[in-house]
Amino acid sequence: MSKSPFRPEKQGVFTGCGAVLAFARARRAAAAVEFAICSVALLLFIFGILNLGLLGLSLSALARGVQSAARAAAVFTSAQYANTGAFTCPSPGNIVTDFNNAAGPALPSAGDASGSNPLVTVTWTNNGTNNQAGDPPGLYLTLTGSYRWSPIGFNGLFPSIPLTITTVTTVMGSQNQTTACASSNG
Amino acid sequence: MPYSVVLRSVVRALCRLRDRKAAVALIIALSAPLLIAATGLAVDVGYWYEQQEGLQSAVDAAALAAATAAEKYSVDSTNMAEPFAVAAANNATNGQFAFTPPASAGTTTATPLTLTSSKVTVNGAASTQWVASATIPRRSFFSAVGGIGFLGVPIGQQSASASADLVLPSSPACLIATQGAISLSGAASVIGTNCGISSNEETGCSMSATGSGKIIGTEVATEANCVSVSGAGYIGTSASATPSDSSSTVTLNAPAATDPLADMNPTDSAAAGMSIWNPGWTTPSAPVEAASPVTPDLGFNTWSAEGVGDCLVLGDFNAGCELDPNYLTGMSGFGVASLLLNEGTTTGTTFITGGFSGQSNKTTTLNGDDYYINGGMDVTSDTALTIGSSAQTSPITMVVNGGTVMNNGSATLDPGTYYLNGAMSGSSYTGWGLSTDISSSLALEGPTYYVNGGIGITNGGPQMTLSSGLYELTSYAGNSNSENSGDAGAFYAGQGTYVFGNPVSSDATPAPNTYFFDGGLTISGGARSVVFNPGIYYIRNGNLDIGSGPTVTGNGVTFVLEGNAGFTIDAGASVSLSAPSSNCVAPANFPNPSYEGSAAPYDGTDGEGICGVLIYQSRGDTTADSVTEGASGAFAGAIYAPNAPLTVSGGASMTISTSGLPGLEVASVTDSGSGAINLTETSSSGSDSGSTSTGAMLVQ
Repeated sequence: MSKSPFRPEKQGVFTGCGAVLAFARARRAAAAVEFAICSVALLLFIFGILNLGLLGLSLSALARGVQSAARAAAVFTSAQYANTGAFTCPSPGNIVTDFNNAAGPALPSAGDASGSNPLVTVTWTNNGTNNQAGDPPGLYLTLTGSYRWSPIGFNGLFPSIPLTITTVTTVMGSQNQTTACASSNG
Repeated sequence: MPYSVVLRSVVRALCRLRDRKAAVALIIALSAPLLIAATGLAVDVGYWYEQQEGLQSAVDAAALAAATAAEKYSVDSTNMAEPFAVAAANNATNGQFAFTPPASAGTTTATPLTLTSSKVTVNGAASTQWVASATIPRRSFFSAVGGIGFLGVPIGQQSASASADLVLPSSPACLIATQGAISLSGAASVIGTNCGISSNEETGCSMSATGSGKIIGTEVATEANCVSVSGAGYIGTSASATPSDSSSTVTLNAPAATDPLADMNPTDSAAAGMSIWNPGWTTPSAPVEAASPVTPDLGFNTWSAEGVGDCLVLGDFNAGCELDPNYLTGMSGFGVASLLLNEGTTTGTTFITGGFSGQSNKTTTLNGDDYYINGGMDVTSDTALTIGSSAQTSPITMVVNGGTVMNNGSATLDPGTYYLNGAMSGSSYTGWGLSTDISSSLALEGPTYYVNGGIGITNGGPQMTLSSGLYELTSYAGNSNSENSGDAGAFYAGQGTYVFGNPVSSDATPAPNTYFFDGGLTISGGARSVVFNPGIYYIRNGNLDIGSGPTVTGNGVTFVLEGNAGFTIDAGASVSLSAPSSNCVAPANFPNPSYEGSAAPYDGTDGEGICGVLIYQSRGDTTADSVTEGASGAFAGAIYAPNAPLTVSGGASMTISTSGLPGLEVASVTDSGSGAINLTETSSSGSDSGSTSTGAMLVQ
């Protein structure tokens, strides 16, 4: 019998070579398995980046909405005084509308009722002429926007993340007012 | 962009460890735009938000700074205010935007800040509004065209603007001339303390001071473009001013002073479609007259037989008559020592026809419940007339047609409803509804009086009290009472002393004092003193006239003048009146429309006056008002007569103090001689104002 020139002289060497060839033959199936493993990490990574961006967007929009709505509310109240001589506050509903306009499409439509998401909490305080520690005198608005943000693509895998932005805005010149403004109940 | 390239490289490198094929790379490549879009959008939008807020903070600060600087440094042009605004905007944003005034914005890195100003009205006062605005290019890192450009968002602009109003210190006007000028001559003066003087006259020089006339207030403002000063006259804000700086502190071309009572409903019945005057005069219908009423025969003691009582004749004027009649006639011209009707009863109805007059009884006492007297009642008792008795439990109803004259030593009308009609159909007697010229005391115990023909007291110096209640007094056009002709009015106080209503202690609910004088209320010079207790006094078709001499005091009163009614205070009168400050209705709610059409007094307040308002002369009423010749008046409360001119002359003085309302709001003021009008605002915080100090507030 003629020896195959390719037959290895030592078993171990030939065995190893055969395994490489076998591996080469089995390459397609193995790649699929490996891709499956890799793709999980990949998708996690892709959605992670995506969600990181969306989280930043939501947080920015929330901050923008709260600060813009608080300014609009304070300015509205001042303008009422300029025009009518009385400080008249916007309703929580009006403030929510301002919030939604300012936050734009980056957030779902907000509400001031308990359970809304995003939730806008309107708290008017009238300190009169008292300049209490930490509290400004006069009429001021504490406006809080809360948004439970949920990442996309991970339904149920991760809890939603609570985002909260609070701002305090004083209505200028309102020290002597007895105005009672409507806060929200949410 | 490098960021995404690096990102892609990293992802590829990760997968390259296990696999050299392109599947993962393909996925990465396909998802790259999405990743970059999400991440880039977050970065870009976050940046835009941050820029927008920074820009808004900057222009807010700029507008506030401009308004504040304008007040503090008397800056009145945008050029002068710009440096303050620009500095404030840069400080607020750490110089992030490098703001400069538009004129010097030469470099591309600088952001021009635009500042404008305009005249506005803030809380009724003239003020200035400052508007700051700025625009910057909207920078993008990822999403814009020209950037990576995936999203194709065009390069745009971001802009923000803010408006700040300057809020002036509250200087409430205490004198508003709503339609005309304030003209002073001689040594006349108009002085406002803690408050301003305003004229809403636009044409001509709306304020004038000649001789040594002075118009002084914490602010003097007029809608006109000039004031006129001559001689030693002065118009301005400084009490110690000299004529040389006269009128320099007058605010010209000011906006019209607002009417703080503008929301108050007009009380003109016609204009408002309301009827606060009782025109009804709904005399209850009298019982049917008996076919043959009983005639008392004083010569004989025969009445007991007829069951109407008895009359014991003890001689002329010494008879004591006790009658218990239902229907009587011939009750005229006899005098007895005492006449007592319906003794011991508090019920029953008595009808007397042919008059009840010519009596000269020493005492006349009318018991019983209801009286209907036709032909007038002229009771001239020597000593006393009493209608009702202390035993009376139900209010009396008394109807007298043909006039009631009570020339008694004293007369007391117990509580009840009285309809006193001066005129009687078919009768030649047309006189006062109720009059006296001899009585020393006349007590109307209320609570309800309807007097057609008015009440006239012409002589005798009586003491008259009109206890708390509703009084509707109407002058009778055909009043031909010889004594009183020419004095016709709803109430004429010729002599004596008068007390309207009951005084109330501060913790008590005011008694329902409501008085209607249809035809005017005249307190002649002969009257000695008049006291008005808390209540509301309506007057129309005749003035509130206070003649020379009497002392008039009132506490917690509101006079409502409407329909050809003004007020005049003549020489030597001394008047001291104060408006209600508690248990009263707020001006804006008066009269309360919800009470329209309901029972008198139709304002739902049972005579409670209008808070802070002493005299309310309705807007349709142009009847001139005057204070003349040495009259002195102290008024705590607003005098509101926006369509009526006021004349103050001679040595007359008016001292008016108010809180939160103008002391005097009239169409125009003419002040001559040495007439002095002194007005004081007592409230420290001023009129309708929440701001105690000057400041700027954002309004847009």
